[in-house]
Amino acid sequence: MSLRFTPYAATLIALGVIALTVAWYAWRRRTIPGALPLSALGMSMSVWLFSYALELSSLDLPVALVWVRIEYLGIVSVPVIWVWFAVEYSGAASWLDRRRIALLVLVPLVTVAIIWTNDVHRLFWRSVTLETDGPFTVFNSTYGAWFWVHAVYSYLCLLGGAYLLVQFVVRSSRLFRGQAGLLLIAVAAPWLGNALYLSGLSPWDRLDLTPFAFAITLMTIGWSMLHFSLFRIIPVARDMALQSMRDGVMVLDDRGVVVDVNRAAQGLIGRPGNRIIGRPAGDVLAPWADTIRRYRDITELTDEIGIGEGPEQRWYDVRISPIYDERRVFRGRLIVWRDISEQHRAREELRRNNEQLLAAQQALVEARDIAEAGSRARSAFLAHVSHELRTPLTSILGYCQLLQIGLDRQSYDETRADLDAIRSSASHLLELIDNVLHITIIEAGRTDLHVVSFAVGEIIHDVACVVQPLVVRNRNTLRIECDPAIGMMCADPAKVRQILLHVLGNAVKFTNDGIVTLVVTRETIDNRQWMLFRVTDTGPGIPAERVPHLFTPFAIANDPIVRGNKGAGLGLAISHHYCQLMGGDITVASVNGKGTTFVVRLPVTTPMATPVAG
Amino acid sequence: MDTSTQSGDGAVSMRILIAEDDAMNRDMLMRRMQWEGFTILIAADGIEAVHVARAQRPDLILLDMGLPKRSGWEVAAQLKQDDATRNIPIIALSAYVLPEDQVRGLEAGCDAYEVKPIEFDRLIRSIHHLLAARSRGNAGSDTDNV
Repeated sequence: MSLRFTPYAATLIALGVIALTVAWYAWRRRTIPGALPLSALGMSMSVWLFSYALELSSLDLPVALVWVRIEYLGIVSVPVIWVWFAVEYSGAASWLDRRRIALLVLVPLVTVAIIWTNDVHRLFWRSVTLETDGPFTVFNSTYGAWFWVHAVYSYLCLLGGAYLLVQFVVRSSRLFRGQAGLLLIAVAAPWLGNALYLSGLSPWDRLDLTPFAFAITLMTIGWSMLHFSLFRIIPVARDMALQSMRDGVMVLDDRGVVVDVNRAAQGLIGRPGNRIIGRPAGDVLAPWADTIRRYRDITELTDEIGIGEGPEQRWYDVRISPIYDERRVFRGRLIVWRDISEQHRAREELRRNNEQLLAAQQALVEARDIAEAGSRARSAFLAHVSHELRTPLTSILGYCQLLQIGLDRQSYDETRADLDAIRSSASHLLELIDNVLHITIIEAGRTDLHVVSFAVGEIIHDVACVVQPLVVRNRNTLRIECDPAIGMMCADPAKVRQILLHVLGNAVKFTNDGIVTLVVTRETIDNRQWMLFRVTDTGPGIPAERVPHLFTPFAIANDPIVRGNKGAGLGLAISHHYCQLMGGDITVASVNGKGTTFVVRLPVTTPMATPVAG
Repeated sequence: MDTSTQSGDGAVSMRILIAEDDAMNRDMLMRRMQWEGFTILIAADGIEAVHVARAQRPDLILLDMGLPKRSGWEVAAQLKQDDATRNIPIIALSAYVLPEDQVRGLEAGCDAYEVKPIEFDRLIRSIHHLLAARSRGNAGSDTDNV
């Protein structure tokens, strides 16, 4: 093997070592986007540089040709790797799918194959010679057809990669100025070297400056990786993260011009990135001019804004933060917005529901207050009426008795009947007042049960005594059928007494020259012990249409047929309520013209906490 | 000093104070009580009722609850707090007929509560019952004093 030493070769070898170092350095950071192609670039460059050094040192053609052929392994791969690097660095790695990679490496592979088989077809070099008389060996050749294919392809690759990088630099220049400058040097170097070589302005016109230039590119990138450490590469990673974010991100420079915008933001704005970047934020976000105006001079803020109207309205959580460079100089603003329409809608829904609930509750409280106030007012009014009526009634009744006493002693028999009538009607008035009061108490829900054990027989006897004068006056016969062993029951005796007085009282009141029967029995129905009070009269009966209203308070008041009569009226309503209160019921069966039967059914023992109906 | 304690067979008439503002009621009550053989004292308002009760020491008071100037409840409470009048039985006579009114009356110190219109049989029974109880009580206290 015949080699010689030249200083050019030494320079190339030194550069080759640097390229290897960069390759090794990048390899160790290969997880970072752009680092792996950079490492490959370093490897290819070192192959190129080392074999070029050996080419320059070769003294005979076959040896030189071997180095040239090895050299071409680097030469053909550098442009492709350059594209790879540019694509990854500018964040478009996904563009490189398998098919595109195959297409990219096709020409270089063919080129390598053609170079190594050139002796057969001479497609690459038609002829080759070696000049060894200069300070370094020069490999001369006349190019075959494929050389031009290779050349054009390589330049296209270099151009494409450079284009991607320049575009990336332009896009991020305002924020990463230092890195951008270095990248531009890296991109420009091969072109400059090539331009010098091709234009003949190079001081070493026989020397191909391209590997030197690429070495500069490589060193620039390597150095910037060293200098900026990971930060040099991170923008790519950041860019990818930014692009894949669902939140809209927009970067404004210190003049309010958009310098970066991610895909989500582009989607919201409805324009592609290249029609957003480089324009003032105010222009880009024209539809939301009001919002922009509000936030124009704000560098730091967190807020929620609504955009649009009605059901189309979207809500965004907007965060604006200032961006400072390493020297703490204000560089611009970062705007991040997150679509929170769903949360906002849910929250609004919740708030609305809450308001409705509160309103409903308020309405209920008001309704209750009104009802209670009304009930109280009515109770108060009726209590007042009762009180006012009682005072004159006391006098009337008292005087009646006085007159009676006087008459008894002087025996004026004729006037006694009149006095009796006065007293009777006054008594009736009193009964009415009492009933009104009871109904008032019932309607106010203030009826209390005082449940005790008492003998049913005693109550029956008592009630019979009370109604006896009426029985006599209406010339009725009262029959009581009650087993002396009927025993005790556990209920409110005052209310049982009142119920029986009302029912029996009605029977004797509305029947003339007839028979009123009270039958008391103890029965077991549905495994429960019941006390049944059956009151049957032979009176006029109750018209069928009146039966449904029989237990409704004041129903009788509007009934012209009964109004003139000494009214029960409230008595049945009160009885009905008291029966229910004690867990029983009251029913009626009547045949018009034949008579009426009321059945009062009460549990022998009043159950505790019976729900009160009506 | 109190001659009424000698009563029992009606030898000396019992004195009843009727405190009632309604003239008709008052007159009717007075006449009715006179029929029953009682001696009647009259008061037309609460202050007068207290005054007469203290000055005359009636054997029993029929007290309307709705008296002017001082209500029946107040009069009852005042008389029951005073040692001089504490032992006089008071029967409330009132057109306030709700259970809570009655409870209030009894709490104020009334010994019985009769509602208007008056059921005289009941009232008279009640009067005799209270007078008899009082005479027994006085007899006891007299014995203690001896």
